Amino acid sequence: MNRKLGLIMTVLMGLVLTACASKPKPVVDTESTKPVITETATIDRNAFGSGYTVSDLASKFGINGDPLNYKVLYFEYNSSAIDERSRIIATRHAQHLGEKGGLRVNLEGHADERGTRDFNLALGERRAQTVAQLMNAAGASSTIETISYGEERPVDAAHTEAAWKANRRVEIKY
Amino acid sequence: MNNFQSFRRLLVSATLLLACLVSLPSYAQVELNISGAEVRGIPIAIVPFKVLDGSVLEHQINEVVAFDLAASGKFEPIAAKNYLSNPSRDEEVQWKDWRFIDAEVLVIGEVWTLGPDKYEVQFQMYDIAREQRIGNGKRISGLSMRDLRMAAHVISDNVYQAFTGGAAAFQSRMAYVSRTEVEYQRFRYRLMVADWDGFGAREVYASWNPLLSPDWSPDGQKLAFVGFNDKGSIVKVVDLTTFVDQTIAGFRGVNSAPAWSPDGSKIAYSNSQHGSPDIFIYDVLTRQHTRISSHYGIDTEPSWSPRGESFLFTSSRTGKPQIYSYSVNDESVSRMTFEGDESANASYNPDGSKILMVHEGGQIAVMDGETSRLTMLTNAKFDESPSFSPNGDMVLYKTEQQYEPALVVASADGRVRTRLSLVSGDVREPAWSPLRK
Repeated sequence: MNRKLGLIMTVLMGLVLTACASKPKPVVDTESTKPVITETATIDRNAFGSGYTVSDLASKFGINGDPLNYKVLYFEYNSSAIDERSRIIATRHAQHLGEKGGLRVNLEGHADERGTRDFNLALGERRAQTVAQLMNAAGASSTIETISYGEERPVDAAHTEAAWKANRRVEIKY
Repeated sequence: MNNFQSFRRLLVSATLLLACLVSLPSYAQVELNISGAEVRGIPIAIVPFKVLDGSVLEHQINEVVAFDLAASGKFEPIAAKNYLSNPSRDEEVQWKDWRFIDAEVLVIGEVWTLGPDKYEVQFQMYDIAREQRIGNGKRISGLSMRDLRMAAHVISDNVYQAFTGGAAAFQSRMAYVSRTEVEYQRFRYRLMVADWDGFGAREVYASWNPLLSPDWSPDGQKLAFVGFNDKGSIVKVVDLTTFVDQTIAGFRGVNSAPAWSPDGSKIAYSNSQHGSPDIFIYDVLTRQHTRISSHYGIDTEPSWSPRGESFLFTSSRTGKPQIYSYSVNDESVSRMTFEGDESANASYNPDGSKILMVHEGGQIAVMDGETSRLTMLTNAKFDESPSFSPNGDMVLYKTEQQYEPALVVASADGRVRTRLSLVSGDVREPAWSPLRK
């Protein structure tokens, strides 16, 4: 129940943020006749509709430049919860798809090798579906299909934390 | 000499155990775990069978029988090199020769060549302590060279039944999935069926996409399994006689984890067409699909009770995967596992008194149905896909030793572990068959 609430919250937050993103606030001082030239005016606090500056995107989330260039979202062990980095990337893709309209998107869910194969198939599906819900809510207006490969298609077959981290993912494909 | 030999055997076993403890990867075929020191198998001598015309056999019957019986954990074969005599007939048996090497059971026999590729096997069993022959000996006839291994399994079954009183399972088979990298990152997946010990594997289905979760129909004639089409995983059934396959569940989302009901009339599986993976039941006769669970959590890996009045399944409804049971009669759900963070992929033993599962993501465990006490069968990290032998005395599972996958059979008490070295390569998803009917 709590998780459901959390999911709704995430989706709502996504909605609010995209709404902001579509109407960037012009920095104009209506009181003064002098044009205001400040440092802050040149820094976009909502770069790519993310709610972050470009430098924050890079330093906090390792997102360099447009989040659209990133197509893999990562997850915690046994979890389908979307972290902030994933939310930024998925939301940006949703916006982009919304502008393009009518594209077909495939979300490929994967799990690490721990746990059983059938459970991991379900977990990969759940991850892909969570991303699909977020993207739909964020205005993707596209046909989003989910497919899960569970633990069957790892990007790294090693039995290490780093490999597991890389394997717990959803790949956005279109 | 006698005492010295048994002491040496003990020493060897202890060293083996130590070797296992020090470095997990062990390539010994049989790992003796003598932690419960006084519990041990019945010492048995299986004399090399005399081949009457001296022709060379591909498989030594005594070796196959020894492998079978050792794997069960209920017997401890004595190496043939220690035998003082090699009788093949009743009148040649000297009790003292077998008491001297501490054998409690003796098996002897002969192989007769009756014509081109036509053999007959005869065997006798003895209780050394009572100085008694057990039964009147048996004759297995109409055998070709390739049947000789199966004749050996028949002998194992006879010995097992005679000295343990339980049902034997050495004529059963197993299914598994083998993966081959044909070219860089391009894999061929093959669903294989072999004798229980891995011999005589043959392909029953193949795909360029992953294959998993084979499950035997109760009559041993079909396998349900999970394959993929371009939309995702689907549940398929392949006939092991005709090799004809059909898709029984290819709905939206994940279709996975098929499980035949004990009477063969239904297949339970998991599907996520309504969003989250739920348990469904497919009626084999009417081809109707019925949704059974509708919880928000992941519900998967159904596995029927021996009489089919309930099934176990894995659910993440409380966060992490645990085992639950669904009662078909009153549609109630009860939680079965509480120990540890995770339990999954559960199944009952044939009499329903034990539940086998994967614990903490990669350790095989057995839970006592009455006390709920959990016993670890393995203490590895990447063990999976466990299944009971059809008599419940052994457990087949997949392990991995330094990135090398292997199929292993453990005695149900965990005391003896036998690696099935006849099956090699990238193997996974073993499933033990029901008994031949």
